[in-house]
Amino acid sequence: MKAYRIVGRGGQGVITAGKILSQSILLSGEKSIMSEIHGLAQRGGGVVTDVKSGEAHSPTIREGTADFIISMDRNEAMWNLKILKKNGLCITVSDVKEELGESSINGIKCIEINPELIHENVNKRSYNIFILGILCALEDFPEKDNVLKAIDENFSEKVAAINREVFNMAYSFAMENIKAEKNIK
Amino acid sequence: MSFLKNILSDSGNVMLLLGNEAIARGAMESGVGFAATYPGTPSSEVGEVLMKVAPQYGMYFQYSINEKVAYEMAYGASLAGKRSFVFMKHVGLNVAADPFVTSLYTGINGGMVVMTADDPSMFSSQNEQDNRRYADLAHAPMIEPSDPQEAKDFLKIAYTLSEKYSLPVLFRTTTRVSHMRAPVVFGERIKPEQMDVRIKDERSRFSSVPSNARKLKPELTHKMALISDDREFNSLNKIENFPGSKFGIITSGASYNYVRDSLDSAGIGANILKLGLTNPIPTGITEEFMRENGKIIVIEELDPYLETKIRVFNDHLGKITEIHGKIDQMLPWSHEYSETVVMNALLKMDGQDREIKDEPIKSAPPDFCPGCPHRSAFFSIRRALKMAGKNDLVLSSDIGCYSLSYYEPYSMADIILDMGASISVGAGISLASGKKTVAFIGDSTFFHSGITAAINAKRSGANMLLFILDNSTTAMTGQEPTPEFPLTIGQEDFSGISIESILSGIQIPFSVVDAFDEGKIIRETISSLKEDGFKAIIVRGECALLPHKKERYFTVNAQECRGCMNCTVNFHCPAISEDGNIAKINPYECDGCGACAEVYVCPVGAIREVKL
Repeated sequence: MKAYRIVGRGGQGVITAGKILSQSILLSGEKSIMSEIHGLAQRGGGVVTDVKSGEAHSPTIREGTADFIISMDRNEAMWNLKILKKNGLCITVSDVKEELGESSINGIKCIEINPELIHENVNKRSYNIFILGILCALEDFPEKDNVLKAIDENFSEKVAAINREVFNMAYSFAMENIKAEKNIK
Repeated sequence: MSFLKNILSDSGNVMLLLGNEAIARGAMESGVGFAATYPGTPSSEVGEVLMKVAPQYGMYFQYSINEKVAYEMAYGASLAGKRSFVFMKHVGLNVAADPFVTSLYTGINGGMVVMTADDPSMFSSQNEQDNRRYADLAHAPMIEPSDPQEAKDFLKIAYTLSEKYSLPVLFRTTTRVSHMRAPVVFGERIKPEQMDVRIKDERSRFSSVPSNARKLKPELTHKMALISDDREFNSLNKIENFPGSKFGIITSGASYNYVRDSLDSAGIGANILKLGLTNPIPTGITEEFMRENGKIIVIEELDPYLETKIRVFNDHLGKITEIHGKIDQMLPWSHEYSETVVMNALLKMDGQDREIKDEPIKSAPPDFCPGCPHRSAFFSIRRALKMAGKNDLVLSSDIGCYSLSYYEPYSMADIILDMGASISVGAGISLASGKKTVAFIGDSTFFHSGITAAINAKRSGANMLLFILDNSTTAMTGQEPTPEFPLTIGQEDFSGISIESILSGIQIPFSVVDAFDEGKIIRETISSLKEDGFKAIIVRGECALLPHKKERYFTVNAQECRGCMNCTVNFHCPAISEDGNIAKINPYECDGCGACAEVYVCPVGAIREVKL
C-alpha cells in the first residue's frame, strides 16, 4: 500500500489531481481509494485530498504514515509534513529562485520546484498535472501511459492536449534533472 | 469516454466513483422514477449526476425549493406508484422532519428511500447532529453503507425493504462515505416502472387524521419488530472472525473502515459485527455475535446510538456480554473518527498502556473567490455602516458562502443559526430590543425559507434592513439553479419567479443594486439606514464560479501604487498580494470583476484594466 496526500489551495485542481492519480493507479492494476472534501467557498482556502493504493479501507491517512505529499502550495505542504513517514517524500510547487531546490525539514526530504521557471506554458491552473508528472517520473508508478489515459478521461480534448504537454514536460524535467542527478529512490 | 456515458454503462463495468455518484448509479439500478432534493454538502453530488442522467435514463428529477417540499414531492410520487428518492444533508432532514415522521405511519406505494448525509466534524455545516436519531424518532428502517460499492448495492436492498413493508427507508451516509472515491462494479440498470395504484381506495391510510393515525401507529411498531427478525435482509450485515480475537467490535458506516485499518496497524485481532441495517438492529446475528464474544466495544461516530441499543438488548438477553463504548468514556462523542481515534480505543480494549496522538494540521482558511460578488458587497456595506455611525447594529446572517463574512476582515455577521433565520431571528431581536437590525440572506436561502420569515417580519412590524445577496445560484453546494431562473430539468419547464415580484407581493419596499457598484451600495445603504420599518436591498452579481468568459483582468501600476494595502488588508482578494511595498495582482487568479479598481478600494486609481 502507498498513501499519497495531495494539498493545495482551492481552485488549483487538488481533487482533479487526486482523481487522475486514483484512476491511473487503477489502470496500473492496483486498487485505489480516495477521500475528497467539497463545499463552502474554497478559493484560496487549503484543500486536502488523500489517495491510497492497494489494500486499505479508510480513505484518510493517519499521521506519520503517508509515503508522499504532492503539493501545489508550499505553505500547505509544510503544514502537512507530519503526515509523512520518516522516509517519506514531499514534492511541492514553490517560488524558489531556481528551477529546483531541495530542503530538509525535520529530517524529511522536500523537493521544491518552480514550474514557471521551467516552462512558460505552466500556469497556476496546470500545477496539479505538473506535479503528477514529477511524481510519476521519480516513482515509475503509476505508469506514465496510464496517467496520460486518465488525463484524457478527465478533460475535454482541448484541455487534455495542454495537460498532456505539461505532464510530459514535467516528466522529462524530473527524469533529467532530479532522478538522474540526485539519484532519488 | 465521458462521465455521463460511463455512469450509464452496462452491468459488469467498473468505475471509480464517489459514494454519492455510486448512489446515483444505485438509483438507476433500483428503477427510481422520481427524485427530488434541495442541495446540501455532503449530499450534493447525487443531484449533480441525476440532473445529467435523468432524461436519458427516464427519471423525473428536480431541485426543489427546500427539503420539506422535496420530501413531500417524492412521497406524492411514491403514492402515485413510482419508486421515489429524496436526498439531503443532515440538517435538511430537520426541515423535512414533519412529513418524514408521519409518512412512516401512512406508509407508501412505490418504494421510497430518504438519503441523509451527515457531516461529522462539520466540514461544511453548522452542527454535527446524528441523524440516526431520526430513525428512532420516526420508527424508520435505516440502512448505512461503508463505501461506494455498498452505497450502490445497499440502495437496491433499501427499495426492496421499503416495498416489502410499505415504509420509507432512511439511507444514512456521512461525509467520508459520500465523499470517498473507490472502484464500483456495476449491476443491471432497470427501467422505472409505474405500479398500479388507487390512492382513493386507501384514503383512510393516507389521511393521517387522529382516528386513522391511532390505528396506524401500532401497525408501524409491529412492522419494525418484523424487520428486526427478517432474514431476507441478512446480506446487509456480516460477521468477520479473526484468529486470536480477544474481544468483539460492533460497528457500521465509515467507522467500519477505521476499524479494519486500525486492527491491521495495531496488530490486534478482534471479531467484527458490521451492521448495514442499523434500525431496527437485526436481532438474530446480533445475539449470535454477543453470545460468542465475552467483551464487546461498539465503535460509531457521534452519538452512542448503536451502543444504547446494544446495551438495552444485552439487558434484555440477561447480560450475556460486557459492553464498552462512549458511555464508559472509551471513545469520544464529538467529531469524526480517524484510524488514530479508533486505534486508541482498541489498544485500551487490548490492555495496552499506550496512546497515539495526532496533532491538528493547519490549513489556509477559506475566503470568497476572486470575482465573488459577496466581497465587494460586504466591503461596501461595512463601509456604509461605519460612515452612517451604525456599527453597533446587530448583523443577522444566514447559511451559504456569505457565512464566510463572519471572518476577518469582513466581520459582517453576529448571528448565524439555520436556513432563513437571518430574517426571523433579526426580526425577533428588532421587536424585543426596539432597535433596527441588519440581515443578510442569499437568493437560494431566501427561496428555501426566507419568504415565510419575511412575511412574518413584515406583519410583525420589524425594523429591519434586509440585504438579499443574489448571486443567481445555490453557490456553496455546487452552483445548482434557484427558482429565480427559467429552466428545464427532466420534464419540468419553468419560466422563473423573480425576487422582486415576491417582495412586491408581500409589500416589502426594495431597491436593486449591482454587487460590484460600490458607490451605489454605500449610498443606498446609508439612505436606507435613515428610514425605520422593513426595507430590502437586492444586491445582484453573478457567482464567480458560474461559467463565464473572462474578458479582462486587472493589474497594479507600480508607479502609482502608494502601498496603502487597502486592497489586500480590507478588500482581501486572494488574487492580490503584497510585493515589497506595493500591491500585485496575479493575472491568472484575477476574475476581472474590477471591484478593486474602484476608488473605495484603491484611492489613488492605480489598478488598471487589461483587455483580453
